[in-house]
Amino acid sequence: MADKKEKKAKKSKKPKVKKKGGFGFKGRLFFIALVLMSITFLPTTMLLFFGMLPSLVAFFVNARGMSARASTISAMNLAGCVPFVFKLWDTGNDFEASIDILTNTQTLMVIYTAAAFGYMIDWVVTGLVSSYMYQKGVLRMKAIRKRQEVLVGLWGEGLSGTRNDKS
Amino acid sequence: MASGSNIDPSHIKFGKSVYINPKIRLPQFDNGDSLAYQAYDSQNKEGKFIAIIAGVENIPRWNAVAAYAGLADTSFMRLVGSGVVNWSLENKQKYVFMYSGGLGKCLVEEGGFSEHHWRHPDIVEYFIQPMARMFKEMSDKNFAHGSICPSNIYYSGGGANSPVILGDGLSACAGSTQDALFFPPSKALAHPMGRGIASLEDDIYAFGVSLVLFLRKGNHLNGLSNEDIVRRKIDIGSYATLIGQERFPASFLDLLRGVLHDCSSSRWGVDEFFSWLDGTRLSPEPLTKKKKANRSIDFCGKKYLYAEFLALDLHKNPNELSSIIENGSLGKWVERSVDDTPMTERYIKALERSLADSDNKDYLAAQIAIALNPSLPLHYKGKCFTYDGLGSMMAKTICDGGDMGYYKSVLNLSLPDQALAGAGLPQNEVLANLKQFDTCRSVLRMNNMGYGIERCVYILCDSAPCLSPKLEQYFINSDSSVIMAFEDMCKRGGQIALMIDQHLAAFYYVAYPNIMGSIAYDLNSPEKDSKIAANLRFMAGLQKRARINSVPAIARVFLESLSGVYKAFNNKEMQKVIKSGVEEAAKDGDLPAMAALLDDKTSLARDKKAFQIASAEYRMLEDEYNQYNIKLANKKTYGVVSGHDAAAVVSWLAATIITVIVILAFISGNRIF
Repeated sequence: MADKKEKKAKKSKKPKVKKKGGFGFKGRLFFIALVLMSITFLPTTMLLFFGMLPSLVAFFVNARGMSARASTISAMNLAGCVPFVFKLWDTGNDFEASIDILTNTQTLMVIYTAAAFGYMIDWVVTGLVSSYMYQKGVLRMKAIRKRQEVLVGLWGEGLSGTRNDKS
Repeated sequence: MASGSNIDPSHIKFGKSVYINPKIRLPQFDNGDSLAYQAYDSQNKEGKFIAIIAGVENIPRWNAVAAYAGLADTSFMRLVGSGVVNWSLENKQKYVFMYSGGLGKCLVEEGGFSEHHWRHPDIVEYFIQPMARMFKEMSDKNFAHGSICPSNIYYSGGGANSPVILGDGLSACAGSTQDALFFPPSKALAHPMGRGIASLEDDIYAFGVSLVLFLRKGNHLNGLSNEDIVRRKIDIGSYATLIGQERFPASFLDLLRGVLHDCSSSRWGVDEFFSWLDGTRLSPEPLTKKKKANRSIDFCGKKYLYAEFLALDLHKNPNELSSIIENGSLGKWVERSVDDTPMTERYIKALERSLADSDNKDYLAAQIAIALNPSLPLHYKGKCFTYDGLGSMMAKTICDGGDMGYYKSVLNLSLPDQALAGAGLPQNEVLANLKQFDTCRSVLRMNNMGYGIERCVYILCDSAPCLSPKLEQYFINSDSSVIMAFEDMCKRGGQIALMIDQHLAAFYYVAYPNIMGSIAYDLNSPEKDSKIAANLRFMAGLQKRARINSVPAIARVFLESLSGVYKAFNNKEMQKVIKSGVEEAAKDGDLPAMAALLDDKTSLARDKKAFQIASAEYRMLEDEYNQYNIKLANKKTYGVVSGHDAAAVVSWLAATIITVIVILAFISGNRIF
């Protein structure tokens, strides 16, 4: 009995390792639905595939953990695609219409410029935010030093624990 | 004679209105080196006093004043006051015992003969009866005089036909001013300062000798040394030695035989004394017979038949003693010729004990002397003292600037313990004395402030004032005397805040162990500031107990040394507040207030807690600073992740707006492309 309990305890103590990569059940379900939807709305899928190429590139090019940049580009890229998706649906939603739209230079210019705009947003906002945070950090460091000086002024150098002004 | 306004400036003030005239000596009232002077009351012309001035070196019995003041019998000199006086003749403090005057001559001048014309009934009425009454009262009040001799007993000033008056017994160490003649053999050969604590038995013996000297018409002991007299007392007893061939009134012989008994336990006490006065015939106990050896033993060219006499001379030649022990002749003599079983046992034990320091032949001589005659005082390396006289001997040695190493070895060799065994004391007194000697040995082993040989002096001599070399100009026996001495020294300048020295600490450890216990830790701290704080607390305690309002000079000395002590408080603001408070108290000379501010436990605890909180905050800030320092080290990467996240949010927001516009345009039928 005791041995069984010990084994159970050992088992329960083992850290649960999360499986990395792959999809879960919900993910798989979503992927199957997406494939089915893609097959059902093949012209739209084709339009989006070529239109969203910058986003795909961004997702694959960016380092792990930098998905925020890809997300930024994707958002604007998608916004660029949306008018042409509506145009496709408005003109019959077939392969010919889809190819017409895709072969139009203006279409690709608009979609890819939107994606570039997304990249620009990422560059500008990231620069602004990091600069702001850096300055905030510097100010905080100065505030810490000032507070420490006040504390030392009030309690003596012995406060830091490195110097003992009692001796 | 003198009124308050025209007092001679050379006269020394004592108390409120009494002045001592140092120009008028009263040598008949001197007690050894404690000299007597005339004193007077400036308010009352009739008030004439005898001021007996005692220095520290006399080890006066200042602690027996209360007991003496409680003695009501009119035959005691009336003590009207006592205390420390600034003795300008020697520019130092002395202890004065102020007695009322009006006394006549002493009964017998030292070395002289009585000039009395009293008949036998007068001697009983005016001398013996008053002495008996005094002994009774001393016995009741647990006091012993310690200075009885005919030159210290006075005719009354009212005329010859009045009871005698017993002179001063407080101004000198008990027994130190009496001649060896006034002591039984157990104490007679001891150094005057080493004769031990005064006892009623010794007083009664001294009275017996005084009566003999008062009655005698000749001096058959003239030319004999103290040692010869002691030898004769051991041989034939004190009574026979002192009476000799003198023809004394038969009525006094029983009394003399009773009070002059050599053994203190067989000597007459107060009850027997009164029985004799009532006319009861008492037969004093006979002397214990000494055991005569079958054959003599040679030592130092002399032949000895009695172990008691041999014991007297052993210290004179320890080398010869060592050789007669080694060749076994002394052992055989004790065992076979003297044939005294207890003595043989003592002898064997003494030999065993002497192995503790086998190279020390003086130690061997002392041990064997104790074994052969336990009632004799201890004789070691040229000094002779009783087990209870060791303390006053040590005190006297300190006063004379002598070497205390001798006494360390005496205590470490347990010599007083062995001398105690022959004193014939009750078991409880023996244990109390042994405990004292054990305490002395334990304090000798420690080097802390207040320990060492100095402490032994105050343990063994309770009447010793503080003998600190830095206070040699002062008589230190009370809280107020310490405070006033340091106030005077601080006024003169050059005094530092570390006022407590080894002697003062030892003195107070014995007198008031609780006071020293409370400051012992800080006093022995290696940090100077802690020592100063301990000194301040000590002096503050004394000022409070002595009820002295202001000691500005001491306060000023402390104030100049407290800069480090304020750091007991961590908070700088608090330090400033405490410092200003201490400065205010110092202006008033209020040491307790100064100490209270520095020792305020509530404030210290609050300060400590606040310091801990501040310290934790400081460390937390330091950690945060270090984290920022690491993060901000690379400016290019800092905040980039957050920037990307913010950009994603902005982008999705913009995309949503665009999408909504496109949908609205699509629904409304407008086409963008």
